[in-house]
Amino acid sequence: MKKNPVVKIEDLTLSYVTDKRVVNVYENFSLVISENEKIALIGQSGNGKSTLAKFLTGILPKSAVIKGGTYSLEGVDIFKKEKFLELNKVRGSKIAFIFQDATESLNPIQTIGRHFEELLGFHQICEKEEVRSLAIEKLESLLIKDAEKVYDSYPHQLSGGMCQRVCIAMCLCLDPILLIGDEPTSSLDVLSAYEVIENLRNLEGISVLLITHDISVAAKVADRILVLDKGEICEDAPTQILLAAPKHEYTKSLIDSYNEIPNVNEMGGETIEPSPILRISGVSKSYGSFRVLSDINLEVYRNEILGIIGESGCGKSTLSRCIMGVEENVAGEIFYEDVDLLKLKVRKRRKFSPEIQMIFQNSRAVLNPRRKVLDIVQEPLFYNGLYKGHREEMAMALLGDVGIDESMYYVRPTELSTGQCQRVAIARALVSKPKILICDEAVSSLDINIQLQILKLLLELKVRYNLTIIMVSHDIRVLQNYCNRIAIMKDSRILEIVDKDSLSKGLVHPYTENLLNVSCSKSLETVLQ
Amino acid sequence: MIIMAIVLLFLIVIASIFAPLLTVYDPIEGDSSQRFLPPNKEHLLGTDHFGRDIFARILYGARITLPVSFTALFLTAVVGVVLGIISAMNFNKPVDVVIMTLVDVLLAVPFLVVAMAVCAIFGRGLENVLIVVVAVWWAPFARYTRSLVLSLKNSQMVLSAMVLGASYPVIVFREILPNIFTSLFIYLTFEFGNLILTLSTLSFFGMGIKPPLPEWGNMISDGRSYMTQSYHMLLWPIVAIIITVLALNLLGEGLRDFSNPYDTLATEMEDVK
Amino acid sequence: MAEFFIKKFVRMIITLIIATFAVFILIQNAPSDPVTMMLTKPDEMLVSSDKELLEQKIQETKEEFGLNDHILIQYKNWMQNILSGRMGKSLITKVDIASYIAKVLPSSVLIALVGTLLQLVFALIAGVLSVVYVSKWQEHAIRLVAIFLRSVPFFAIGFAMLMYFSVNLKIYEVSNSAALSRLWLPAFAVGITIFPKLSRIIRNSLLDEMGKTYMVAYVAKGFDKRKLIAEALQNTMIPIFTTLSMSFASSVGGMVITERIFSWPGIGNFGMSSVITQDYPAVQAYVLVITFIVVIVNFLSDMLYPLINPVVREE
Repeated sequence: MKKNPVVKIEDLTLSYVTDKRVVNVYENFSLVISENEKIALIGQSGNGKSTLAKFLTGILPKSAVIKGGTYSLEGVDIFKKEKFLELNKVRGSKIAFIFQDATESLNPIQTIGRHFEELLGFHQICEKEEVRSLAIEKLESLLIKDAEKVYDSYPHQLSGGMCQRVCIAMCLCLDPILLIGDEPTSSLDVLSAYEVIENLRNLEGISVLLITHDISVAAKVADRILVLDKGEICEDAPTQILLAAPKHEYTKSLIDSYNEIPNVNEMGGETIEPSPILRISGVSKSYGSFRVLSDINLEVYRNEILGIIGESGCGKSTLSRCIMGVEENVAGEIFYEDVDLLKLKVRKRRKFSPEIQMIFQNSRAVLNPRRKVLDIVQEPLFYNGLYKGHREEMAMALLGDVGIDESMYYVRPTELSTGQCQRVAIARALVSKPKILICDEAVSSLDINIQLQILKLLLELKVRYNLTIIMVSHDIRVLQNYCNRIAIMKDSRILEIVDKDSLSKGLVHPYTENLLNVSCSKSLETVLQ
Repeated sequence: MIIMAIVLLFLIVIASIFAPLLTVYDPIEGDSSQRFLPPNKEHLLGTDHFGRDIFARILYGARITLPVSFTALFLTAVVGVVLGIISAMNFNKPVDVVIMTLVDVLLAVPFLVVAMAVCAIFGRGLENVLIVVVAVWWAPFARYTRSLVLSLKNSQMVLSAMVLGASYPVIVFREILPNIFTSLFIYLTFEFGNLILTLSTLSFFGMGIKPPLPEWGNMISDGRSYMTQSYHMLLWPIVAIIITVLALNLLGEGLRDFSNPYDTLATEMEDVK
Repeated sequence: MAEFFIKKFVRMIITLIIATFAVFILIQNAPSDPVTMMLTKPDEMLVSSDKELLEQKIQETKEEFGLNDHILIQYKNWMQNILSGRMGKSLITKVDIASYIAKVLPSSVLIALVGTLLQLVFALIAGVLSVVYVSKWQEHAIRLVAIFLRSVPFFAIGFAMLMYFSVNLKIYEVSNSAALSRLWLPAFAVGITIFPKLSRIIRNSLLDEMGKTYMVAYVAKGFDKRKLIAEALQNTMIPIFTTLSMSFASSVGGMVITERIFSWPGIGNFGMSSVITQDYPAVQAYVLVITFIVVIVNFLSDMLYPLINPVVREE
C-alpha cells in the first residue's frame, strides 16, 4: 500500500565547521518518511543521527554549515537553497521533538501545568480554562496514573521516565505530523524506558522518527529500521526483515552483539566457594532526611562476579562508594579480611585503596585530559608510593592486557574513543594489583558491540588476575548470566540475592520478575513478540 | 582587549620605575614660588600647594601606591585562598563551620565602615588601614575559593583520584589548584582594582598615608583641601587611578573572555525570528 | 521547612554575637580610655598631686560604671543596654545617640531603596540589551561603558555630578535636608555606579539559561525570541534577588561616601562625623546598627529565597 510521504529530504550536504576542523556529516543524503509511519534510525554514537533530528526541527548549532539539499514537509518547502523558511510555523505545531534528558528539557521553576498553559496558549490551541482538562486527557491517554498530581508537580519531583512521558503528552497536544525522539530512552531505567517505549509504540495518527543507538528499542517501536553508517544509510528495511536477515556488516554486528550478550560468560554455571572477601553488615546512610541505604547486609565471595542491580536512586552507586571509602557518616560495618573499613580514619583507609579499585560509567570524565595515557595508568602507583622504578613497566604490561598498543601510550584521552578510554581506565584500576574490582555502570553508556568487548575483556582479566568483581548496573539482561549471584536493590534496600538457579526457575521476587520480563529476551527476534 | 590592558599596565609600571628619568622635578621638595600653577610648558600637570610638580608626584607616587596595594592584595589573597581551600576540603567539619561563620561576620559589615571605625580608634595612617584590609578582605576571597573548590571536589575526576588512593594534599595540588587557578587569577585582578579604588576613597576622607611622601591617595586628600585654589591637585591623581584600575579591569575582562567563551546561543537566536 | 528556618536563625544569632563582641572588644582597646577622656580636658597639664586625685577619681568612676567587672559581664550589660535602646550620649554633641540614629536612619533607608531600584532598572536594561545584541558592537559598547564605570572611584563621580548639577546647571540645591526633591541625584549616582556588577550577573545568568536544554526545547516547541527572553528572565529573577538583597543590605549603612558628598543626613554621614571627631560611643553605635541591619536583611532574604525558587522549596 503506497503511503503519502510527509517528510522528504533530498541531497542534503551538512558539515560542522569550527576553527579547528571541518567534520562532514552528510553528503547527498536523502530520506522519506511516510504518513503514520514509525521509523528508527540506528547507528554508532556520534555518527550524526542527532544532527538529522536537529536539522528537521531547525535547532542546529551555529557551527553547522549546510550546502545544498531540500527538505519539505507535506509538500511545503522548509529548507531550500541553503536557507530555512518559516520554521516558526512548523516547530511544535507540525514537528514535535523530545530530548534525551527529559527532566532537563523542562523549565525547573514551572509546574507541568504551567508548561501546558504556556504551550497551548502560545499556539492558541484552546482557551485558558480548557487547558487543564485537555492536558489531563492527554496524560491519561498515555496511561499516566494520578495525572492530576502530575499536572501540579514540578519537574524535579517527577522521575525521568515520567518527565519524558509528560513531554510526549505536551507534543501530542499540538497534533503534529511528526514526532522526533532523540535517544528518548537512553538515560532512563529499564522499567521507565519500557513505559516510554510502550507509549511510543502505541501512538496513532502520527509519524515517528526514533533516533537511538539501542537496536532493541528500535525493534520494539519502529515499523522500519534505517541503519546509518558514515553519513549514509547502509541498510533500510522493515523491522522484521532486517532482524531476520541483516545485509550490512554493521547491522549484523549490532544484532549479533545483542544476541550474544547474555552468553558472554560461558563458565557461568560454576559454583563459587562461599568464602567472603567482603562482609557488609548493617550499612545505612542518609543525606539529611533522605535515606539512601537502609540496613544493607551482603557478602561478597572470593573470585565471584557479584551483580548489583537496581533502578536509579536505589542506592547502588552509594553502596559502591561506601565500599571505596569515599562516603562519610556511614553506619554499619564493612569487613575486608578482618578489617572494618568504615571504622578507619582517612589515612589508614587509603592504605587499602590499591586492593579495592573501581571503574566508572563515564570513562572520559575520569581521565585527566591533560595527561598522557601512560602517565594516567601509573597514577595509582604514584599516589600510593608503590613499585618505584617499575611503574612504567607495569603500566605497559597492563595496557597490553587491555588491548591498547604502544602507538597510544603517549596520546591524550581526547584522541581516544569511548571504548578505548574505558580500557585505559581498566588498566589504571588494575595496575596496583587489586583483589576486588567494582564496576559502577561501567558498560552502560557504551555502544552494544563495545559493551560486548569490554565484558569479555573483564572476564579475561578476572581469570588472569584472580579478581573478585562487583558489577553494578541497571540492566539485568547484561548481568543475567554474567554474574554468579545478583543482589537486587530497590529503595535503599536489598530486595533479594539470586543466583543462576533461582533465576532460571523463576523463584524470584515479583519486582525482579518484572525486570526480567521487561528486558530479557533471548534474541532480538523474540523482542518483537 | 587584553592586549590593550597589558600594554597600559606595562606602560604604567615602566613609567613608575623610570620616574627619575622622565622628570627633573623633585616630588618632595617644592618651589614655593611656583604654587598652584595650572598645567603649562614646564609643569605638565601643574603644581601643588608646595610648588611641587604634580606630574612628578604622580610618577613617584606610583612607586608607592602600586606596590603597597599589591602587597596588601597578595597577603589578603593568600590568607583567603588558603582558608577557602581548607574550609572546602572539609578535613575537619568544625573548622569549615568556624571559617564560614567568620566569613559571614566579616561580610556583614561594609568594609568602609570597619576601616573608618578602626581609624577612629587607632588613628589614621596607612599601616592601620592595611591591617584592616588584610584582616577583613580575606573573607570574600575565602568564600569564592571555597565555592570553586567545592564544585570541583564533587566532580568525577576528583572522585576517581580519591578512589585511586590520592591523598588530600595531592588532590589539592594536582587536580584542584590547576583548575581553579585561572578563575582565581581573574578574580584577583578585579579585586586589585577594587582595592585601589577603596584605598583612594579612604584617602579622600583623610585616612591614608601621611604626607609628604607622594602617594596618589594622599595627593587626593591634599587636593581636596586645596580644591578651590587648584583643582588640578585633585584631578590628576584621580585620573591616574582611573587609568590604572581601568587597565586592571580590562585585563580581567579580557582574561575572562579568553578562558570562558560564552559561545553565545549557538542556535536559537539565529533561527528564531 | 522548620529545620531550615531554625538553622538560618541560629546562624544569624551567632553571627550577631560574634560581630557585636568584636566591636565591643575593639572599643575596649582604644588607646584613650573613655573614662579618662571624660574626666580630663585634653591639653590640661597636671601637677603630681592633682594626678593622684585624678587617678582616684578615675578608679571611682570606673567602679561606678562597672568598668572593672569581668569582660563578659561588661559585654552582657552593654548588649542589654544597646538592645533596649540605650546607646549613650555623643561625646561631642551630648545628644542621645539612639534617638538621633532613629531619626536619621529612615533617610538612609530611603536612599538605599531608591538607589537599589535604579540599579535594578539600569542593570536590567543593560543586561537584556547585552544578550539581545550578544557578540555585536552594541554589546561591546555596553561592556566598555560598564568597565569604565567600575574603574572610577565613587567619590569622583558623585562629586563631579554634584558640582555639575548644582553649580553649572543650578538645578540641584546644596543643603543638608533630607528633602525628596534632593533625592534624585544621589540615588541616581549610586544607581549608575553600582549597576555594572548586577548587569553582568544578569547577562551571564540569561546566557546560562539560554544554553540550557529547556530553552532549546522551547525553540523546538515554536516559541519566538521574545518569549524565550521572557522565560530566561523569569529564571534569572533568582540570582537577581540574592544579589539585590545583599546590595541593599550593605547600602543602608555603607553609603557613607554618598551621604557625605551630597550632605544627606543619614546614618552613614553620622558615622563618618563620629569617626572624624573620635566620638567613640557614636562610632560604636553606628557600627552596631549597621551590622544588625545587614545581618537581619540577609536573614530575611534567605527566608524569602525558597519562595522564589521552587526547587529549593521542597528540601
